[in-house]
Amino acid sequence: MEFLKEIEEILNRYPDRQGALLPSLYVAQKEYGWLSQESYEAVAQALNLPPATVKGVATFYAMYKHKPMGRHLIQLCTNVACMVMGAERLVDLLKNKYGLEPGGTTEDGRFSLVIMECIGACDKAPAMLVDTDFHADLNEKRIIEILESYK
Amino acid sequence: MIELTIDGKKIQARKGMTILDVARENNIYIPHLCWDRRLKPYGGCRLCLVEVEGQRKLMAACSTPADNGMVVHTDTPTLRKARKTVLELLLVHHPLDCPICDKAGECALQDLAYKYGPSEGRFYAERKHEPEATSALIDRNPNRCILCGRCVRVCWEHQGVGAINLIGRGFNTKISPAFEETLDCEFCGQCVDACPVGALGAKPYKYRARAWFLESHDSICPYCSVGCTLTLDLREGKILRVRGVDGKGVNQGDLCGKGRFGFDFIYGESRLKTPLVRKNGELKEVSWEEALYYVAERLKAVLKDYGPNSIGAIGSARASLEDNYMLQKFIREVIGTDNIDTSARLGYAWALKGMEETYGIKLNPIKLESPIGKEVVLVLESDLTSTHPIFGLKFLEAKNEGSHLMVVEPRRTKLARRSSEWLRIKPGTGTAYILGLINFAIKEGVHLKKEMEIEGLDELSNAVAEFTPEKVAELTGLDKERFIESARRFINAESRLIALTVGAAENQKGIETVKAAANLLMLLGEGPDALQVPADYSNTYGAWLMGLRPMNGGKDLYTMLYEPGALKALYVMGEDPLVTMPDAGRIEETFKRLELLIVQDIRLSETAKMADVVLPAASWAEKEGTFINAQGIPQPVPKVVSPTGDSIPDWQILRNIARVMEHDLGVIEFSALKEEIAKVAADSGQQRWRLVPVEYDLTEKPDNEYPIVMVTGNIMQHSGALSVMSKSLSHVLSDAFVQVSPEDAERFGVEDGGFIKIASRKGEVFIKARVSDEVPEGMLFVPVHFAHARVNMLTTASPEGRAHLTAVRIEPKG
Ligand code: SF4
Ligand code: SF4
Ligand code: SF4
Ligand code: FES
Repeated sequence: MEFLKEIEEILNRYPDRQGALLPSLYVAQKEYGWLSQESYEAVAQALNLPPATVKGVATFYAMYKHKPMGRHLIQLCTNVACMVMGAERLVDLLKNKYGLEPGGTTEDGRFSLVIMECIGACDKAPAMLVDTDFHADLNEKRIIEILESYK
Repeated sequence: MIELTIDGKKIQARKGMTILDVARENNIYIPHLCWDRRLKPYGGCRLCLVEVEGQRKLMAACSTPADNGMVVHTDTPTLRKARKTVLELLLVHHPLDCPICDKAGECALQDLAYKYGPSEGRFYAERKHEPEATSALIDRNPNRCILCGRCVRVCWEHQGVGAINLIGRGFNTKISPAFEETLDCEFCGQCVDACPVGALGAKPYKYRARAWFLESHDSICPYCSVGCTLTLDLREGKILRVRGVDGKGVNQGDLCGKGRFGFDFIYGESRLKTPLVRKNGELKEVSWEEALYYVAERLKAVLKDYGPNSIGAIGSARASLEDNYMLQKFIREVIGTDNIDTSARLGYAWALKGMEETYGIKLNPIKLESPIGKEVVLVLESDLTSTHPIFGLKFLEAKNEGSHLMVVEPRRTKLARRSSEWLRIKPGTGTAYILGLINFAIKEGVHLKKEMEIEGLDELSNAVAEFTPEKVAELTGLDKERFIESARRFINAESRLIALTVGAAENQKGIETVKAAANLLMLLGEGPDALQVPADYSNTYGAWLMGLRPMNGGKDLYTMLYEPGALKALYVMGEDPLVTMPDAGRIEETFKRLELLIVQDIRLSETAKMADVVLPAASWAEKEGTFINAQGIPQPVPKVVSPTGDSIPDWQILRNIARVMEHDLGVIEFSALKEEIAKVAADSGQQRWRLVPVEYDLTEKPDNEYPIVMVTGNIMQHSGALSVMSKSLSHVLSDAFVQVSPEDAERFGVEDGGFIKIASRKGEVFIKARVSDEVPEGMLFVPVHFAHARVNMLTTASPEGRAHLTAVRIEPKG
């Protein structure tokens, strides 16, 4: 019911139902963990839109969770600046330390890793997002310290 | 007005037009793939790029507004190069399987590649989606899709369905229903016509012909009264498919599933090929000669023994003007009686009568565009997008353009889903809702502000006094405040419209509904144009004009069918009362009491099975004729295929019988018949406004024994008894069913897909249940099309023309 209430609030802020779709998908993602069929159907029903419209819009955007994900989502940039500053070594480190592959999830469901295109923080490369928190100036020591604070 | 220059030509244009609109209006060619007249500009394909002087970028003509002083070039070396590159990119992953693609020869991509070249590019990639195989009627091959999105937008923006979308992004994007499931949509096929390439096709047409071998003829749809223009594509004398052509006909190219896929009823297995005469209790094939003499002798015998008024006839709302005209001429001149009627008696006749009693007019053709631009549009207990699909689309269009669409309706119809405001009332209480509005309007003194004097105000205000908001809330199940809010909105609007149907297959509305609506509109100063009630079928309106009704005190359909013994002989042309009309048990009894039942039809209908003689008629597309649509527009229906078996046009059968009966009807040729018909004058009456009190009372009230209300009607894919002959339409839906609400399903132990018994005070039938929240608690909805279900054994007819809901109870089949 929390879910419907949140969507109702979003609806009040937009001129029409289709406009409320993108933020509603975030609500669904929070509720269902990822954008499952169930979540599409729930959003479709709540917004009175066809499921095909909901899914068509959702799958156009790469930043939604299109498959089940761990409790925390690491989005690590490996574009030019981050790569030069050693982001690839960090990718290897995550693989060795947590068994975490790009696009994968740790076995205990703690972390998922997505390789992200430029995060817009080249001056502090390498950089990443963990859930919605921003972390920059990463190195092998710092990244583990940071991640260990996410349980 | 603005002025711009395109390719050196000075052109006047209206503000708000895009460059492409202006170019099209002036016959200047700009290629386009994703543009569609009916849809908002999309700018997806980039083929319509043009050069605009002073702009550094190339501009998409379909989404750039034309502006004063603009100088546009549509064909330059730069543009040709740009278009070539766009095509090259579209062709990167296009399979180029043109030799086995049904679209070849009429494919926009093929034509553009031919025009701009090349068919090969510098890049190569392949998509390997499986073509979709399980859906009915719509063939989907995502590999051929160029992602123009026209199908998606037509389905959602224009049809209000949204069954398919572009799923995914980038290279892997795929045209599909949300979860790749089998398509479960309206099957209108509008996406097929919209697709510029061979990604979407009509399954019944798959691998049937190369486009360049087809021969095309325009005709008029035989189903509903919208009267859409169908473009029939034939090969070797057989209709293979139907298309809508943009801009053509009253429908401007739009079609519904019935019109697009339902044409194959003419190839139905049950088509009659020879006349049949009952011998020793069985219908036996005979020659025309034998049949004609048989009919003539038997009719003469009845005439001699009982006189002309013992004979009656029922015409057809789907037969042409000419056929119907000839039937009444035969009945009036050869037999000498006024006993003639059609199915319109059960519905449309009451709409007309209601309008005559109020507005004083005898005819009120609809206007397809009527909802557009109205501030408030009220659709009253009518599933317009199912019964009159293309008229129904206009209500969505009106809403898209800013009208407030109020849908007063118990069922979750498409219009209810897409409305601005859905007032979910209890079935059959739409009339009460309107009476409530009248009472409210009088209390608010709205009519006083209009400074009008209409006779009957006092009587009306007394009659509606009891319909206070409290009472309306109680009757309809609406919240009182919501009712008041909706009443205010309707009454205070600058412009408004009420649309409803009074269909022969429906039982929740009647003359009182029409009168209530007319009263309300008159009070608000609105003329009959604000009340849109379409006739039912392709020629309901025409048959009415041709005098297919008692005009001189003859027996009407109620007397002829529901008073056993009222007639000795009945001539039924192109109608199947046993399936399409209520209270089938009674009709059967009447038929049994007849001495002579003559049925003239295109197939062996249920009624024909009881006949003494059955005469095979040529069908739509097998003969020339005329239909008059709900707008009152006569439209010619050409002969494009040869008649099935020995069948001949209805009017010729009647002419021949008259001859055998030694009565010359004076009509030998079709042209002579047409000339005679042209002289028939339509009497549309004189406007004279009168407010008339309306009684509201549910004829059958639910009680403890029969706690549920059963509503009957037409559905999207079927219409009367004709569409069930179509293989294509039956592919979508061939099984009779009844919709049961989840609440009632739980209460009465009904399972989705399980058989249930429905019992009314008249009888009981067994039928498959579909549990669906489309219907509210306490209501069943059952389509009337399926002969084997015999749901009309449960229903009653109302000779007073009132709503005639049926109270029933349900239980699982034990
Ligand atoms: S057939 Fe009609 S409803 Fe079905 S997907 Fe195509 S456009 Fe949509
Ligand atoms: S299926 Fe046809 S209409 Fe639909 S997006 Fe693809 S190419 Fe366009
Ligand atoms: S809307 Fe009516 S006339 Fe038009 S295609 Fe459909 S059934 Fe035929
Ligand atoms: S027609 Fe203009 S971008 Fe497609």
